[in-house]
Amino acid sequence: MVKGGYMGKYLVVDMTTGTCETHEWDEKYLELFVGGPALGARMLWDMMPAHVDALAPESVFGFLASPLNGTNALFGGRYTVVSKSPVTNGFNDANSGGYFGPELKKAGFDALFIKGKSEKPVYLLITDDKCEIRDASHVWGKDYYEAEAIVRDEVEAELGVKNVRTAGIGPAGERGSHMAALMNDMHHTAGRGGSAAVLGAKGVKMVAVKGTKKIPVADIDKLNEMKKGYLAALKEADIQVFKDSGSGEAAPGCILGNDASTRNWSAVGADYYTPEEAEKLGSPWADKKYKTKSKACAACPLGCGALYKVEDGAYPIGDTTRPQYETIAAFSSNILVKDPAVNIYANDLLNRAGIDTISAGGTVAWAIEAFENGDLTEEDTDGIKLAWGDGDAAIELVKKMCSGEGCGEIFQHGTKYACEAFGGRGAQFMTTFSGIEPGQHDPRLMPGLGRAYKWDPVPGRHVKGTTGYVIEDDKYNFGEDGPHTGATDVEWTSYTELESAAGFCQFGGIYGGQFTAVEDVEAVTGLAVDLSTYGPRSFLMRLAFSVREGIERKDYTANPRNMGEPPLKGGPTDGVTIPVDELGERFYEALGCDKEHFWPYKDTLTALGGLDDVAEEIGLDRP
Amino acid sequence: MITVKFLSGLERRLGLSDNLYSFEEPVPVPFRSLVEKLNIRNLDSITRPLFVNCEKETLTFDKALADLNVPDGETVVIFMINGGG
Repeated sequence: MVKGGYMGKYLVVDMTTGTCETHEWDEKYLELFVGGPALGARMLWDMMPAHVDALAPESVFGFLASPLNGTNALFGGRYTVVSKSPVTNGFNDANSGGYFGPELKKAGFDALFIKGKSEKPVYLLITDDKCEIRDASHVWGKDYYEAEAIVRDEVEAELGVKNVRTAGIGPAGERGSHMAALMNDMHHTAGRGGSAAVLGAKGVKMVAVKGTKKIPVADIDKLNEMKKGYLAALKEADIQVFKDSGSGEAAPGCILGNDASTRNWSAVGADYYTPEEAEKLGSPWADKKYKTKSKACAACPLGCGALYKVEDGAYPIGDTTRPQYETIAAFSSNILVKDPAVNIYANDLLNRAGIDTISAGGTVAWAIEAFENGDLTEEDTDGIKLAWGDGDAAIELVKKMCSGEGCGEIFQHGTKYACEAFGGRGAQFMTTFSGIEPGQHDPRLMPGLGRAYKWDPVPGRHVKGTTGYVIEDDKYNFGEDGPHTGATDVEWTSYTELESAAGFCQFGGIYGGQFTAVEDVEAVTGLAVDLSTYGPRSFLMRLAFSVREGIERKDYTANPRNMGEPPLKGGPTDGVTIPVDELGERFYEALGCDKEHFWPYKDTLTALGGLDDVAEEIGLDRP
Repeated sequence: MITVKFLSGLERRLGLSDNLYSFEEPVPVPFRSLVEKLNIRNLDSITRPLFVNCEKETLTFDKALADLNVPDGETVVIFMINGGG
């Protein structure tokens, strides 16, 4: 029985009719799915007919605050967005930190689902138990930073309050870019899979939230005890570098150690970067010159965000935000650029336009390689001469993506769309997974991540599954008893399913010591979490949405290059090839799915509980 | 002279006071002996991949312990892959 963590209600806003309805949760859903991606998948399953276009009025976009949001559970500040992906045509989820999720709950709602299509641009204002649809013509077309500042200032002035929280889209989302990222609280991003294009298609620029409600917690004593434990663990752990410089502190090591992509995943980092050059790309180096202020998400004692002021170098852009590791790698070693000014500027341009930096960097890398090979020409790039290591040319292409003008009309949609638009030229250099550019961690060092990149219903993500890094050579054991496959893979994945549902930041998991998202969720909600059933149920609910859309094993695509086929020569992953298809087969077999489609058997779904109707609709009969 | 450098605060995680050490040794010197001289206390506590970069090549820490001989004038860089995000 649910005793805390939820406000008990969600909003459904129909943009076609202009109505806002409040609904009470079916408590069973909260018990089964906890929150986040799986709860979102279940709601989309119920609310959306199958096979509608991702950008059609019948398509549904969901914001889900998480059970930990607003409870002061440390690291519990993340919320989730869900929709059908315009890239994969399957399920999509992405999550983000900041303050939006907690504020939505303070306003009395655990989630907001938006359907239909508005005739004119609008934003939603949500205050205690209320939702209002307002005209957004004055901010439509404006970059996200500017639009957010305008809406936030006008709402704060009108209500006489401070700290109104917002989430919304930039011009890329308005144009339906397949790389459109949902932005919130200025520089936080639920970036992946193109969800923001779905919101843009509904005519919704932004959601502004202000609430005053208290969020119930089932066991406050346990939660306080855990907070003490987390803080003690942080004292023990050496977190100062991360606290000072955020995830970008990892960039030099990841570039030299081949975790970050080098030359569109085709090369060895140390062949192109000296340690000094790699260090210059890490946040600690840039912080010394540009950092003006640290920033933290709600309930986070780490604070990995920062503001920059850049007044020198190739792009003196003034006030901006510090790029995260993913963006740094995507706009440095991925395209062989050595000047940190390039990733800082690209980050600023893409945040303002509301475009996913990971996908944008992947698209630039593909375009450079295709250009080098003669598959693309200046005619395709509006005269931009793309080349490895040419940061200025990369920035020019990013500007095109952000404006959507000229060749940007094509490149704004990412690698897969661009390759198709150019008649398949350069297809051999696409390093996407089912059309999604992967995160900046290499499967050749994290084989379980390779499985997740290729075979998760939401492909190309570095936060889904993984079985950790290979630390010693003998861990490249891909046998059935190996550490990266089958039931072990399901176990690790189950934990990341719960982290996402809880709204728990994975950095908390890395540095937080003895407690995990399981204890957090149990203390806050009063639910008993059994990961062995929760994990598979959650994963299969996400999968079920895509299965209903007809997506099956043959539709999951990847470039063998990303798995070491052919293997890299030299460096720490010298000669390594990841048998990703075998890993996928064992993973889905351990989950109770068939090998031909990677679809779940009926009895698998019914045994997990709460999925009988899903089993009836998409479950296979076991032979 | 040989220099050993630790990246991104790794020296603190390893219980060392500085990120830069210099050695005047008969060269080439086995990497293993440099590590012994550094007297690294917390090596076993590192649960993420450790690497060594020397002469423009990156090796796993274990491989460097086994095979690497460091020539005169080189800087050996020791670092950890720390996850990113």
